[in-house]
Amino acid sequence: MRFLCISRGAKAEDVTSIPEIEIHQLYEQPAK
Amino acid sequence: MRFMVIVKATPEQDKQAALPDPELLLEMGKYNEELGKAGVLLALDGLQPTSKGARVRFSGGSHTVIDGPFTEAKEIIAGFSILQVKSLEEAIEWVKRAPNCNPDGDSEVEVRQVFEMEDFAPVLTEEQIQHKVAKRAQLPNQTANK
Repeated sequence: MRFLCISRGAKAEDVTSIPEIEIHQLYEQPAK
Repeated sequence: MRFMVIVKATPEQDKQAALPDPELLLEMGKYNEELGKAGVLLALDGLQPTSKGARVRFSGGSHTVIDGPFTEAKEIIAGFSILQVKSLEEAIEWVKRAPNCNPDGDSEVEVRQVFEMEDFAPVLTEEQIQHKVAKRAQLPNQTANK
Protein backbone atom coordinates (compact mmCIF):
# COMPACT_ATOMS: atom_id res chain seq x y z
CA MET A 1 0.00 0.00 0.00
CA ARG A 2 1.21 3.51 -0.76
CA PHE A 3 0.14 6.66 1.02
CA LEU A 4 0.53 10.31 0.10
CA CYS A 5 1.30 12.55 3.06
CA ILE A 6 0.35 16.18 2.44
CA SER A 7 1.58 18.90 4.77
CA ARG A 8 -1.13 21.49 5.15
CA GLY A 9 0.13 24.97 5.92
CA ALA A 10 -1.73 27.29 8.25
CA LYS A 11 -1.09 30.40 6.18
CA ALA A 12 -1.09 30.83 2.41
CA GLU A 13 2.29 32.57 2.30
CA ASP A 14 4.01 30.74 5.16
CA VAL A 15 5.00 27.29 3.99
CA THR A 16 7.01 26.64 7.14
CA SER A 17 3.90 26.50 9.31
CA ILE A 18 2.56 22.95 9.11
CA PRO A 19 -0.07 22.26 11.75
CA GLU A 20 -1.59 19.28 10.00
CA ILE A 21 -0.56 16.38 7.77
CA GLU A 22 -3.14 14.59 5.68
CA ILE A 23 -2.58 10.92 4.89
CA HIS A 24 -4.29 9.52 1.78
CA GLN A 25 -4.17 5.98 0.47
CA LEU A 26 -3.31 5.85 -3.25
CA TYR A 27 -5.06 3.76 -5.86
CA GLU A 28 -2.94 0.90 -7.16
CA GLN A 29 -2.83 -0.38 -10.73
CA PRO A 30 -4.03 -3.97 -11.24
CA ALA A 31 -1.15 -6.46 -11.08
CA LYS A 32 0.13 -7.37 -14.57
CA MET B 1 10.34 24.11 -13.09
CA ARG B 2 7.97 21.63 -11.54
CA PHE B 3 4.32 22.14 -10.65
CA MET B 4 1.99 19.99 -8.62
CA VAL B 5 -1.45 19.82 -10.14
CA ILE B 6 -3.98 19.04 -7.43
CA VAL B 7 -7.34 17.69 -8.57
CA LYS B 8 -10.15 18.21 -6.09
CA ALA B 9 -13.34 16.29 -5.44
CA THR B 10 -16.48 17.51 -3.74
CA PRO B 11 -17.32 16.21 -0.23
CA GLU B 12 -20.32 14.47 -1.84
CA GLN B 13 -18.07 12.59 -4.27
CA ASP B 14 -15.81 11.60 -1.40
CA LYS B 15 -18.77 10.40 0.66
CA GLN B 16 -20.01 8.21 -2.20
CA ALA B 17 -16.57 6.54 -2.19
CA ALA B 18 -17.27 5.33 -5.69
CA LEU B 19 -14.63 4.57 -8.28
CA PRO B 20 -14.42 7.18 -11.03
CA ASP B 21 -16.70 6.76 -14.04
CA PRO B 22 -15.05 4.38 -16.58
CA GLU B 23 -15.58 6.90 -19.40
CA LEU B 24 -13.85 9.62 -17.38
CA LEU B 25 -11.01 7.22 -16.58
CA LEU B 26 -10.51 6.58 -20.30
CA GLU B 27 -10.56 10.32 -21.07
CA MET B 28 -8.12 10.99 -18.26
CA GLY B 29 -5.90 8.19 -19.55
CA LYS B 30 -5.78 9.77 -23.02
CA TYR B 31 -4.94 13.14 -21.50
CA ASN B 32 -2.19 11.63 -19.37
CA GLU B 33 -0.77 9.91 -22.46
CA GLU B 34 -0.59 13.33 -24.14
CA LEU B 35 1.29 14.69 -21.14
CA GLY B 36 3.65 11.73 -21.27
CA LYS B 37 4.30 12.07 -25.02
CA ALA B 38 5.06 15.77 -24.53
CA GLY B 39 7.58 14.84 -21.85
CA VAL B 40 6.01 17.03 -19.17
CA LEU B 41 4.55 14.34 -16.89
CA LEU B 42 6.84 13.28 -14.02
CA ALA B 43 4.35 11.58 -11.69
CA LEU B 44 0.66 11.12 -11.06
CA ASP B 45 -1.63 9.23 -8.74
CA GLY B 46 -5.24 9.07 -7.64
CA LEU B 47 -6.26 9.23 -4.00
CA GLN B 48 -8.73 6.82 -2.44
CA PRO B 49 -11.70 8.20 -0.45
CA THR B 50 -10.78 9.98 2.77
CA SER B 51 -12.49 7.17 4.72
CA LYS B 52 -9.25 5.26 4.05
CA GLY B 53 -7.02 8.09 5.25
CA ALA B 54 -6.31 10.14 8.34
CA ARG B 55 -5.14 13.53 9.53
CA VAL B 56 -2.42 14.15 12.07
CA ARG B 57 -2.83 17.52 13.74
CA PHE B 58 0.17 19.06 15.50
CA SER B 59 -0.06 21.46 18.41
CA GLY B 60 3.21 22.42 20.06
CA GLY B 61 4.86 19.14 21.03
CA SER B 62 1.73 17.01 20.86
CA HIS B 63 -0.35 15.57 18.06
CA THR B 64 -3.86 14.27 17.49
CA VAL B 65 -4.83 11.62 14.95
CA ILE B 66 -8.17 12.15 13.24
CA ASP B 67 -9.37 9.18 11.23
CA GLY B 68 -11.13 9.68 7.92
CA PRO B 69 -13.56 10.39 6.43
CA PHE B 70 -12.84 14.12 6.46
CA THR B 71 -16.49 15.06 6.97
CA GLU B 72 -15.79 18.69 7.87
CA ALA B 73 -13.61 19.34 4.83
CA LYS B 74 -14.91 21.77 2.22
CA GLU B 75 -12.54 20.43 -0.41
CA ILE B 76 -11.06 17.00 -0.88
CA ILE B 77 -7.92 16.15 -2.80
CA ALA B 78 -8.75 13.44 -5.31
CA GLY B 79 -5.51 13.17 -7.22
CA PHE B 80 -2.34 14.89 -8.29
CA SER B 81 0.29 15.05 -10.96
CA ILE B 82 3.73 16.60 -11.15
CA LEU B 83 4.50 18.47 -14.36
CA GLN B 84 7.88 19.64 -15.61
CA VAL B 85 7.28 22.80 -17.63
CA LYS B 86 8.90 26.15 -18.35
CA SER B 87 6.35 28.40 -16.64
CA LEU B 88 3.14 28.60 -14.62
CA GLU B 89 1.39 29.67 -17.83
CA GLU B 90 2.47 26.45 -19.58
CA ALA B 91 1.24 24.39 -16.62
CA ILE B 92 -2.11 26.20 -16.75
CA GLU B 93 -2.38 25.57 -20.50
CA TRP B 94 -1.94 21.84 -19.90
CA VAL B 95 -4.47 21.83 -17.06
CA LYS B 96 -7.04 23.61 -19.25
CA ARG B 97 -6.88 20.63 -21.64
CA ALA B 98 -7.72 18.11 -18.90
CA PRO B 99 -11.21 16.58 -18.76
CA ASN B 100 -13.58 17.93 -16.08
CA CYS B 101 -13.47 15.41 -13.23
CA ASN B 102 -17.04 16.35 -12.33
CA PRO B 103 -18.60 16.19 -15.82
CA ASP B 104 -22.07 17.17 -14.61
CA GLY B 105 -20.92 20.04 -12.42
CA ASP B 106 -18.08 22.22 -11.22
CA SER B 107 -14.60 21.11 -10.33
CA GLU B 108 -11.38 22.86 -9.46
CA VAL B 109 -7.74 22.07 -10.08
CA GLU B 110 -4.97 23.80 -8.16
CA VAL B 111 -1.55 24.45 -9.70
CA ARG B 112 1.33 24.92 -7.25
CA GLN B 113 5.00 25.44 -7.97
CA VAL B 114 7.24 22.88 -6.29
CA PHE B 115 10.29 24.04 -4.33
CA GLU B 116 13.60 23.13 -5.93
CA MET B 117 16.60 22.67 -3.66
CA GLU B 118 18.28 25.77 -5.07
CA ASP B 119 15.32 27.83 -3.82
CA PHE B 120 16.68 27.21 -0.31
CA ALA B 121 19.99 28.93 -1.06
CA PRO B 122 19.10 31.92 1.17
CA VAL B 123 18.74 29.68 4.24
CA LEU B 124 21.04 26.68 3.55
CA THR B 125 24.72 26.42 2.66
CA GLU B 126 25.74 24.97 -0.72
CA GLU B 127 27.04 21.88 1.11
CA GLN B 128 23.70 21.37 2.87
CA ILE B 129 21.84 21.76 -0.42
CA GLN B 130 24.06 19.22 -2.19
CA HIS B 131 23.62 16.79 0.71
CA LYS B 132 19.85 17.04 0.41
CA VAL B 133 19.99 16.70 -3.38
CA ALA B 134 22.06 13.51 -3.02
CA LYS B 135 19.72 12.07 -0.38
CA ARG B 136 16.64 12.83 -2.47
CA ALA B 137 18.21 11.25 -5.55
CA GLN B 138 18.18 7.94 -3.65
CA LEU B 139 14.39 8.01 -3.31
CA PRO B 140 12.65 5.62 -5.74
CA ASN B 141 10.09 8.12 -7.03
CA GLN B 142 11.97 11.38 -6.79
CA THR B 143 10.86 13.72 -9.58
CA ALA B 144 13.53 16.42 -9.24
CA ASN B 145 16.16 16.82 -11.95
CA LYS B 146 14.48 14.50 -14.44
